[in-house]
Amino acid sequence: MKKRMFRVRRRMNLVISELNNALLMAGCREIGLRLVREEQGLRLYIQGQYAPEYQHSVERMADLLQPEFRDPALVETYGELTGSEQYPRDGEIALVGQMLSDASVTVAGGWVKMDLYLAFQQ
Amino acid sequence: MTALRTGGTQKYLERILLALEGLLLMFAVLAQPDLSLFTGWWKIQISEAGLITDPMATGGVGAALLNAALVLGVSLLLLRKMKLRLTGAALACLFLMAGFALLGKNLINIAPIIIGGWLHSRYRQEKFTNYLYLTLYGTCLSPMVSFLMIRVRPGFRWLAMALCGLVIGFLLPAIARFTPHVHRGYNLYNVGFAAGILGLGMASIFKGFGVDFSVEGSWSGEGHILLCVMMLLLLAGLLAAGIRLGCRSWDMYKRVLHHSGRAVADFVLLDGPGCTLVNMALVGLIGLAYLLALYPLGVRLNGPLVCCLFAMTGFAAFGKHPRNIVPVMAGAVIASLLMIQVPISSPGVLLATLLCTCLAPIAGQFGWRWGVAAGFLHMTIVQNTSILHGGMNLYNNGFAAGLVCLLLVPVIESVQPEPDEE
Repeated sequence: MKKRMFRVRRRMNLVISELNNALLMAGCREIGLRLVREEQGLRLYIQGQYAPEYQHSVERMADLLQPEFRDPALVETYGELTGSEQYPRDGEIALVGQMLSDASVTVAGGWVKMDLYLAFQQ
Repeated sequence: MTALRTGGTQKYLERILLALEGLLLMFAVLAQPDLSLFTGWWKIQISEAGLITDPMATGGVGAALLNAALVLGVSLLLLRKMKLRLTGAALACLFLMAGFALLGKNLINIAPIIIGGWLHSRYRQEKFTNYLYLTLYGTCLSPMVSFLMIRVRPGFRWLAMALCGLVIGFLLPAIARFTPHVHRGYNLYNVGFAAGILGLGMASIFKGFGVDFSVEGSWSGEGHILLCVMMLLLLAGLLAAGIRLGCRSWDMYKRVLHHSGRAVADFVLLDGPGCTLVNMALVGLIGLAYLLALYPLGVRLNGPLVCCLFAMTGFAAFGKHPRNIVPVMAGAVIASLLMIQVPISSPGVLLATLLCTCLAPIAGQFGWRWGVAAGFLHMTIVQNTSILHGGMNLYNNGFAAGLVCLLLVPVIESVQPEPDEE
């Protein structure tokens, strides 16, 4: 399959936009983002400090970003719906989880740390 | 998510779909236990299929159910071949394929569209897996394929139908990827909207060359009891399966009701398959109860109405739930009661009342009043959309719903107060 820089770059922008919104809505006072272009894909590191009352929703977000399986047809059909909404919901976070090639999310001590990867070849 | 982590769940969901396949086959044989089952089935394959044509009137109740079983079987095989997991999106797609085989899809008229979708994926150098849902949904324009197969003069008809199907299958994924920007997920039948636009374009071109799409509709009233029993067995089965998969209390189920339903609300991914299956049973039951309530007005279950029940049930895995569909249905009913042009028991109105539930996310997101308004508006708009594509788009309600969103959502957002955020 073809190496798809253009598509992956677009998708990464949608992921960033969606997660920015979600974290701000989770009461984050500080969000750190680092995007690295690797040989085989784009890697995004996100760190955010959230308010204690959002513990449950952040854990839920972590769960949805690391699904047991991914459905590429779902992403192709509805992927365009991510990133544009100001008020993200579970469904869109789940769709972001489906978009990613790999994700590792840890939630501890009021901080959420994400290591998200989108491969050029999908 | 936890339910999905148990390895057997996917196999269990697959068994449910195989059971649905078996149920359709069993009732096909019960309805037509003789050779007419096969002759009727063949008649369905080579007949016109535009809105509103009831295959049960064309080939018999059993033959139409056999057609539904075979279309479901092929779709399920494709999903397995592509190694796609059974998410809410997959369940919705499969139920829609089975359902719309009772309102126009058949193996012959969907084949060229599926090949067109495959060609699209080849052209873009991607896996066909990515385009499978879009391609399967895209078969809603299959009546156009049937129309050309029947009306074009011999010698050219197979070429014409094949070319038409390939063009539809090739173009539709591109349009359907764009249309969510228009309705922003408030129309659950996104491909119906995209197909309406493509159908409008193609019908206009054909019209320019002298081909006028017009179909003599049909509407059967046979097999009511049999179809009621089949639907009740299906819904009871889904309910039992959902309970077995862990949805055993109101507290568990009510999580589903908290979603607005706006795409993407894949309930299998969000709340697990147990709650999803229970929700499918309840939503299907609401549709069935509505139709049975109209029994004194002469409403009897047939192909198109069972199709609507399948569509409602399937999309209860992907956005619909009792709380967001009831306001929209109520709006549609109010419209049909107020307007003399749309009697409540006429075929088009019955279909619109059940299928307008694709606008359920409006009720889920903005409240029941806007849901009622959406249903009302849908009932009026859908009366005028079929003529645009010559009745060739089986998801005409999805097309109308897209237009409702275009009209209503910007208005709602402009009058709604901005949410308070800290």
